[in-house]
Amino acid sequence: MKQNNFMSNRFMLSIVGSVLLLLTVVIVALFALFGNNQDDVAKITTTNGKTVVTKDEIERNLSDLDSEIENSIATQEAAEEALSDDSKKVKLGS
Amino acid sequence: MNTSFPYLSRNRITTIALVILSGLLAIYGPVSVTNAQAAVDTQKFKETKAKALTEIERRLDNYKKNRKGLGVDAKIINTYSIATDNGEVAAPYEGLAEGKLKFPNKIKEKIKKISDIVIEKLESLEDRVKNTTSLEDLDPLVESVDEQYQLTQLTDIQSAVTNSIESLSGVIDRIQTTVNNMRGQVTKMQECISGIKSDIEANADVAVDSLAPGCDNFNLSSNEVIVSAESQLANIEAMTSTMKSAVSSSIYLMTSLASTFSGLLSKDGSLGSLDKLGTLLEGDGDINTLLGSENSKAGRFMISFRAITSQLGIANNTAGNTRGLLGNLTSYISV
Repeated sequence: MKQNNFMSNRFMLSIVGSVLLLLTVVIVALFALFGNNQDDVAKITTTNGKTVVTKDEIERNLSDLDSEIENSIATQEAAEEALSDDSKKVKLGS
Repeated sequence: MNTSFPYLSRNRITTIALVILSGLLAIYGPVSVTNAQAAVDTQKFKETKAKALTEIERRLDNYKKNRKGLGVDAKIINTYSIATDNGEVAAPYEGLAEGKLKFPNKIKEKIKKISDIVIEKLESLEDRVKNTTSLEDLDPLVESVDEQYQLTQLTDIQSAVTNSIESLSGVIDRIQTTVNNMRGQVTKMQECISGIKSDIEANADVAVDSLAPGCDNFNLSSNEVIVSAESQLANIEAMTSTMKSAVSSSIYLMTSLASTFSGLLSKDGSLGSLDKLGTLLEGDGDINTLLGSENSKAGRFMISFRAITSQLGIANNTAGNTRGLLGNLTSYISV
């Protein structure tokens, strides 16, 4: 009797597992087919065949640009500091 | 007898005491002076050693920071028609010759190598200072720390300015990519609004996308939007062009300076070796003769480095303003 219950539990678990797996596969397939709108938009082209980049991509460009400008200002300040280092130097000898 | 003995004895004792005291003074007087001098020397040794180590560490921190920056190469993907301020088309250096605002690798490698040698020699000097036990040993090392400053600082400035040029090249390249991407959007909007507007109006019941694929989500409210976007893009392109000129002329000047500097650091004046640098930093050779006084070579290098850095500062400000305009332009984009 105990053995039968155990078998039936295992059977139920395998069914639930299979259903979950199937659902996951279906969701992934649906997303691949319809979910990725960005790819569709990215395929927009101009009359001379150039792909039009999306607003999301342009915003990523701007975000990268922000950090690059920040870095560029920091390196320029470092160059200015190096140029004025003479005032920070400690003369050791007499 | 009873009264005279102690009197005589006191005199004698006083005399003996004075003799002993004089003897002691004669013996220990110079010793105590020497001891006092030694104490002063020890104090001076400790102070000078601490100051020397602090100064060396300060320099090493700066040099290592700027050397680390040289390890990162700017990714440059766009190509341009590059001209210098006097209208000549760039050519002789790799990078610029490809039409890219790219610092020449060969020169950058040389700058890295110079920086590595300077750091290595300064670390070795730091170890030697740490191991000194007397003022006598310390003095020549301290003199060396003072003497080599001008040379090592020039190498650090060279690294720092190169980093700054490269960073700005990356910024300009990213601006160019963003402008190109925005230009694609504006072109598409223009095509949509001019080419198919009448079709859309005439076929109000037909979906825009079937008449003009890709146009349905664009902001086609008015032609003025396009005109304004076009005009802003033109401003941004003019500003980018100014920045490109600043960076390309900086690359030219820096390349020339770095070549001259490398030439000074090799015994035969060639670019291939830096054999003179190591010996100079080890105290064998006269750095002052190599670089001269303020108005001489070192001074001229400094003037050029300052000119480049100042130009880069202006270009960085322009980059910030350009970024602002690009941000405004995104309001026209809906897709």
